[in-house]
Amino acid sequence: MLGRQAFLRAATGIVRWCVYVGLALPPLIVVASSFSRTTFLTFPPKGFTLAWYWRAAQSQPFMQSLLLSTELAIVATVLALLVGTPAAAAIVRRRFPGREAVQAALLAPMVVPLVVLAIGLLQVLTWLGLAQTFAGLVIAHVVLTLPYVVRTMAASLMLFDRSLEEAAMSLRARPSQVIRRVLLPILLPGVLSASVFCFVTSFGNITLSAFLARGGLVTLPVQIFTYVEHSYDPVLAAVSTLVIVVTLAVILLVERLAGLDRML
Amino acid sequence: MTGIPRSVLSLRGLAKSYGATVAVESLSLEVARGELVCLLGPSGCGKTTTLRMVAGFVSPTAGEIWIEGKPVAREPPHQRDVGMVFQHYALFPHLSVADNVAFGLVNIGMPRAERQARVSEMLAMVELADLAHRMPRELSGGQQQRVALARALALRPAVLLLDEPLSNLDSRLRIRMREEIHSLIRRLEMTTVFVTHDQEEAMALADRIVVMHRGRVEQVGSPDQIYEAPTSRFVAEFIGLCSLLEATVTDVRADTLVVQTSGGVTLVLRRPAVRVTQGESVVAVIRPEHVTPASGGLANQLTGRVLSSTYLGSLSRHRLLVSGEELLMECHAGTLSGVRPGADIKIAIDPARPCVLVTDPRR
Amino acid sequence: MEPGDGPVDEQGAGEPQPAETDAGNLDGTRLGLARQLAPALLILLAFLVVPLLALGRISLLPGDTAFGATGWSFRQYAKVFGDLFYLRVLAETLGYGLVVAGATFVLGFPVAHSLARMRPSARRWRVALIILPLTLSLVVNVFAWLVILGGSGLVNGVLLAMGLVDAPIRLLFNRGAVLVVLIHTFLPFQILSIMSVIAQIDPRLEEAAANLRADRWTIFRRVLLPMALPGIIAGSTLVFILTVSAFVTPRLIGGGRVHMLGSLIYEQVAVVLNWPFGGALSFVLLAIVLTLLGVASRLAGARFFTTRS
Repeated sequence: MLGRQAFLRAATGIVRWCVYVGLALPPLIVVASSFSRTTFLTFPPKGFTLAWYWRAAQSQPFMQSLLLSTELAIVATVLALLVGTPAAAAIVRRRFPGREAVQAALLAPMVVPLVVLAIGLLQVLTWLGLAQTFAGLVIAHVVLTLPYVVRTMAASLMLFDRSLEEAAMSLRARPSQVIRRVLLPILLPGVLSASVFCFVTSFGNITLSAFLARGGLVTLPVQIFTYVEHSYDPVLAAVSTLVIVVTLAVILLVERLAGLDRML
Repeated sequence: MTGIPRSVLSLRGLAKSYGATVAVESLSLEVARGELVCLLGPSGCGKTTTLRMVAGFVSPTAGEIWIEGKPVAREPPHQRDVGMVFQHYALFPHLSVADNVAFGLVNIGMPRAERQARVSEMLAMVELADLAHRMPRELSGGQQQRVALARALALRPAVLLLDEPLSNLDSRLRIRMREEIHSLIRRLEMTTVFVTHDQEEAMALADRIVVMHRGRVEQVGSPDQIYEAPTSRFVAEFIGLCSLLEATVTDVRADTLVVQTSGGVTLVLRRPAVRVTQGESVVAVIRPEHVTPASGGLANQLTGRVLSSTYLGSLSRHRLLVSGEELLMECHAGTLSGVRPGADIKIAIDPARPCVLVTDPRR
Repeated sequence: MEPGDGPVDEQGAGEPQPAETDAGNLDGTRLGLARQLAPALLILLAFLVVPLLALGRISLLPGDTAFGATGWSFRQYAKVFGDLFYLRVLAETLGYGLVVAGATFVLGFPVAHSLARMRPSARRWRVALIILPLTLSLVVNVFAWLVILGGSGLVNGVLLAMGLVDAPIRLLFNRGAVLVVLIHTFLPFQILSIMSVIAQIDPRLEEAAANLRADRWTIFRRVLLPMALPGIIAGSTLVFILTVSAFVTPRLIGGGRVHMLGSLIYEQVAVVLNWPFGGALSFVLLAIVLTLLGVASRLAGARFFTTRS
């Protein structure tokens, strides 16, 4: 019996550490191998050079797609917030028939496999003449990120103490003043948290972007994807590192502004 | 009553129903300038709904609300001249103490210099001047409440509304805050309505108490009126302790009544203001202090058996069995020392103080 | 929590929650409600519902292209279910789903359990670490695995250095590699899901079981597993769905050799441009996913009640 206990403890301990290492390792490996002097991907890297970063910076396809991804993520985030926050408010604060159904509908994009959605969306956008446009991509990414906004803002709004609204009104605040001076400042962490989810989801998305952006508009992950399919060299490592850096930068920036405690 | 009321706050026929449920049933009340009125009652009696109707957070189903001669029942809360202190204070967590107090002043567009002066004045009044730049989460419960008060009073409202102001504080703090609030309101001659379920708080603070039960007003009166002359069983039982004895009137005299209880005891009691006839059913409201150990020529002398005794420091309270009915007695400590449960003692009931209620078949 | 809930100071039969306001609040009128919901619902209607309907329509086209096509036919579905190749891909995909769900459960449970029982300060950076791969784009993760499993990558480097092999062995472009990467990619979902459900199980129940002579395996089997089952089902279902929908991983890690439903769909739609067939494949995928969700929610719901004892 004692042997089995010890074995179990050891086994679960090993598994746990393997998992932590396994999750942390890949990004580190990508970053490390981007500095390798070799022309093929090796790990551990041999030598040290920044040449691949130069190559990436000078590569028009990669830089253009980086710009596109960033712009797309920002626009989609802003729109998703503008559309999703009132919807979340409606669900949380008001009672109306069909509330549960609406809630399910707003969270539906998370449930539908993106591959499935992508094709249908492609067809619809083609009908609308938006198939290869920035607007089409934006629409797709708004649909993609809307559930995150709704879920995060709904959680924030549920925690909001409504007696603060009443106190503000009893102190002569008009509804617009209540929103501006009480509601928004207190909801700010939630808004920032939702923004992070949206940005990161949009920036990193491949599936939707791959289906919708053949031809002119290629986002960074899709660019990496197509490049890898044909050949791979450390330029990809450098570009992937860029993705990691941008993602982490956004998260850290928001954490500095809002406090990680309030987001997790 | 019609026409523009002269009282600061006037409620006429105020009512609220949610579908078939009646929360408040036609309440009318006039509150004079500087008066402290308490809405008192158990959970669900409608007192908070009434307060929130005055504040504007609940729209009345019927009735009028007048504040300083203006009808406000249809007006949104931010246009009413009331200040409200919420049960959990509702201090804005993202603003400092000073900014909290200034909040309403900013909304009405008061210029900065004047605003700062008013904020300093209010903070000095509640003795929190040196905490002006702290955040609400750094303050104790008592301090938070004082900020909430200062914030509401900064606008110099016509009426101050308090929602269970002391229920979040522990008992010692509660008593101290009670006195502070009382003296502050008195000093400002602030017309105040507050809501509570704590009858001691009501008795200590209010000029007049409105006792409510299930949406209806049971009785309105000063604390001593409510205590000494309750007009219904509910009020009698809700305020203070009492023993209720059902009895029948056997004789009506000039100043007194003779009644016989269902247990066969005959009592002589003060005649109530309402008309009573022989043979009518009544209820005698006997407070524990109306019952004393018998001596000499006291009226209403009875024999009872002690069921239990509780020592409360300055008082002792005893449960007695008198002719099959339970009676509560309260005496100063030491009066009945040595009396054991099971012992028989002689007691007397003061004829002048118990109140006699004419029982309404509806109740 | 119901809308309108505020600090509760009275719970009375006759009186509604005090914070219930039907006047003087921010929410306004019926028209306001419509304005709040309309944009989101319209967007979803136009760009979620209609696309799915469009997809259904496309899948019922008889030809090999959707461009200017007309007509109705079940030919595409007949092709999916009639051709052995596609049936095998379908079966394999489902198989992968099961394997990945099971493996992530086995690997994830110990981590989830220890996280659930940890102090918040110790937990925070670990949870951040687990979430990190989710935030990075999928390509980055997959690419990292290419580096790890590649000819001059980490694993081969270690094997060579330790003298276990003479030349780099091919680790990529086979089923095993795809499975490993899928497991790695979706592990965080399973961990977070199980963690949140274990956190709701009172740790004192485990202590009570230990006090009643249960060893760790027994505690897991008779206390944790039954009580955490709804969360485990939810997490496993999520991982299963993500796995069967995957297309980037099989394409990049599997080379041209490993076919999964997701990558097949991508091929048909983006490369071969046979939208009708791709549409039919998608609808089959959607049907699988929705069925699974229905089954899982019923399972998790029903089980939840019986483990209440």
